[in-house]
Amino acid sequence: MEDGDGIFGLLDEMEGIEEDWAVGCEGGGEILDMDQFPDWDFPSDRSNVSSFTIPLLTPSSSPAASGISVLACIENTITSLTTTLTQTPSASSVGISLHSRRPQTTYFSPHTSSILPLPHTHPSHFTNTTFPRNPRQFTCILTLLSILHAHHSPTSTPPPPPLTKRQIYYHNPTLFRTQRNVDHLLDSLAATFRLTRQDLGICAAGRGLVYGEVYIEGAYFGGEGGGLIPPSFAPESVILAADVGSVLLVEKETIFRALSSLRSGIVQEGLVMLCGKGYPDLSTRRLLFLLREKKGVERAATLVDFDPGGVEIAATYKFGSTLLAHERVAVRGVEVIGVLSQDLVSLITSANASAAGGDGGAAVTALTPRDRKKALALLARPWMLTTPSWKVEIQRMLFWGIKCEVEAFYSGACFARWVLRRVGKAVA
Amino acid sequence: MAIPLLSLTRLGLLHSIGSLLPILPLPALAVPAAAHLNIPKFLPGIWESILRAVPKKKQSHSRKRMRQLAGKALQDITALNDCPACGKVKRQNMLCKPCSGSHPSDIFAIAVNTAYAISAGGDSSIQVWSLHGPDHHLVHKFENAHPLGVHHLATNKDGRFAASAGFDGTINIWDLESLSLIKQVAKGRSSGEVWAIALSPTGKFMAATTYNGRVCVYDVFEAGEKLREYETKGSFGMSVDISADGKLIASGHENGGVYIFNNETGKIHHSLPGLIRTVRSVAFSPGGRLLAAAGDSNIIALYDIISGEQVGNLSGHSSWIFSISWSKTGEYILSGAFNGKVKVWSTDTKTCVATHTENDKALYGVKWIPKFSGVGEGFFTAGANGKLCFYREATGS
Repeated sequence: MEDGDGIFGLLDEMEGIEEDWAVGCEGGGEILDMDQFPDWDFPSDRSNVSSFTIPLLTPSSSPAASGISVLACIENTITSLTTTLTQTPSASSVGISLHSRRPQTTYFSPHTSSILPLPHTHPSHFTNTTFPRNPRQFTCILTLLSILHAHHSPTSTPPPPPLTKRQIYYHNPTLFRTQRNVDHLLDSLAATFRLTRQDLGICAAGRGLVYGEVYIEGAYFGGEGGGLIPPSFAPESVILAADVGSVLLVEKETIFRALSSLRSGIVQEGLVMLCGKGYPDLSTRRLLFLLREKKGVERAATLVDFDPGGVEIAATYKFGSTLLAHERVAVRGVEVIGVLSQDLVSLITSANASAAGGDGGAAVTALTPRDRKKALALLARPWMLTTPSWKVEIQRMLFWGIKCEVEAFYSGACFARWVLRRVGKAVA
Repeated sequence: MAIPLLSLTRLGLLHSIGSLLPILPLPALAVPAAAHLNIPKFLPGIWESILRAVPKKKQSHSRKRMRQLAGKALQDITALNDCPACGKVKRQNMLCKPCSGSHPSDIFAIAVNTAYAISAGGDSSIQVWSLHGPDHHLVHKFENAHPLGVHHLATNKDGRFAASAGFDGTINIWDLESLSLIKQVAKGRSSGEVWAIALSPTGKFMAATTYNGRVCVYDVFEAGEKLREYETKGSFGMSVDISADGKLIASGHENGGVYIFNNETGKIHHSLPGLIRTVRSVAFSPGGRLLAAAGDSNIIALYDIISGEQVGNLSGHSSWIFSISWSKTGEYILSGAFNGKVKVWSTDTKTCVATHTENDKALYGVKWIPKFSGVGEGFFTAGANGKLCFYREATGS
């Protein structure tokens, strides 16, 4: 995680996404024949857990895949937390205990031929996060619970689309610190509630999205929300509408989702939007390369964060990455349309004006030492000389000591217009 | 080839229309559909301009003249003179853009001695401008001083030496009398560790803050070794200053911490509370009695050095303050902010006595011009627009 190089960054992201909790028992030594246990419910064991920490496993909790059960689990957790606080005011700490996902807490069931959690609710199978001692992690858990609760709350008949772990992370990156932390906590929560990730309404993100008047392998991607780029599409199967003049590259899936609806006007403006979800994978870049070189698309406007990572992502599109240099998918005509340093000026000034000192820090955060290291590494890259405007952006970033995410500008209906205006500026 | 593609577009549109119907009323969608379908092949290139060619509301010539006569029109700029270098007309007190070239990118740092104003920024060079005479011509350019750009500059009290810190982590020491490079000081433990710098009055020592919040004192001329190292809480050191007698060092940090260290004892003198957001500039008063600290909290805090008490707040900026500077007598404080405003404050009354706005680009550096430089009292500013601006008057009167 220490390395600032783009490819390592890429690996980090992928690792974060691909991490799965049911990986514990490869060795075979941990495999137990415990099929005599019913898989989920062990009411007899519950009491000794709840005696000293918050009982997350309520007797009523069942692995039913409905939103109500998730809501019930979350609400039980919170209520038991508050009752502990009210009943024993003298208690020096409160805690939430989560099921720890270690090989020791799982077993392989030949019956279902899958790895299952051990039914024992032995205290050692739980990691207890107490409040005064571990405030950050405690806050993380509560934040996740509230996010999940809000996600499941609306009782609309079509259930909401699943949240990606990436989206959840971007609710509060400064709190969660790493995607890995979110993944870990979410999966621990799922394990504790004895639900699957799908039941919780979250999913690991796939990679490479496309939206616009384009057909790949017969599938049309102009519908609401676009779709995943087929991992290995044939170049001749890509058919582009005639009026598409430029491509919009977005860094994050949240932004892609916000823009990939008919109301945003992306299709009407003759744009195709691509999203690499962080560092773009090869198929995303291949598609961009194809559109640019073969299909007459002239420009690729890039919407990335104002941080070293954002610049490096834009650079990955524009110059390619070191390890995949032999693939030759560097695309000419990639321009960064946001977030630029001049956007921050108004943001900082208005934040100062509106909330004298309190709220302004949320949108704009301080650079971490790792960001600085990465920025300095970027400044020294050989391609930096060819893009003086990017150099200035990085220097300002370092001198101001701040970074800013696209989400800072993401406020409802104006956002799409803001983006289109920016693209228009880049095209004109 | 064009026909199947066009029909595909149409197909896609029909598809989108189908899913759009429940959301939007029909008239709203008729326009883009028509725009897509009925344009002949050669038109799209100019169609955009046709759509945009909306007649403007024109102000009549008589109304325009009336406003001008009433003094409500744009004012003419009459403060012009000729550039002594190229002979072209330029704005007074401003550098001639075509002939000076100025900096192609932001000016991140400025410094001053009795003869020169020095500026450096995102490009690799450091430029030295004359303070004598109203034209402020370029005296010298240190080419390729720091290949990745310069972020801090400092001069010592008598103006003999200057130090520059680059993004690549190197620090260069310059002789301003012979306009030459003296040496390159050893960097920190790893490249890019050192951030803000300050030179002691004699120029013998240099204080530098680091990424992890330490404040280091280097011997500039001997072996360039680290003499002292002060530990703080580990927050990024944004700014540093050395007092006029060289005994104290102040540092301002990203988390709002302000510390004063005593060079004689090698110990921390005061840890100053009060600012909770990034401190971007600290400056000792010339008399050595007060310390001014300013940053993202939009105020300039004044501290008494001996007691460590906060003795005053200068509030009035509406954006982050990047730079502050004391006048020679300690009577005024100059401050430059992110929104391009420069303010002059009276330290007696603790009020703002003048505000200037050259443009809305961020100002990174403000400096008083020393009194005996021959141009009278004044100051100059530099920032994101890559230009130096010289102001003559002290109070904007």
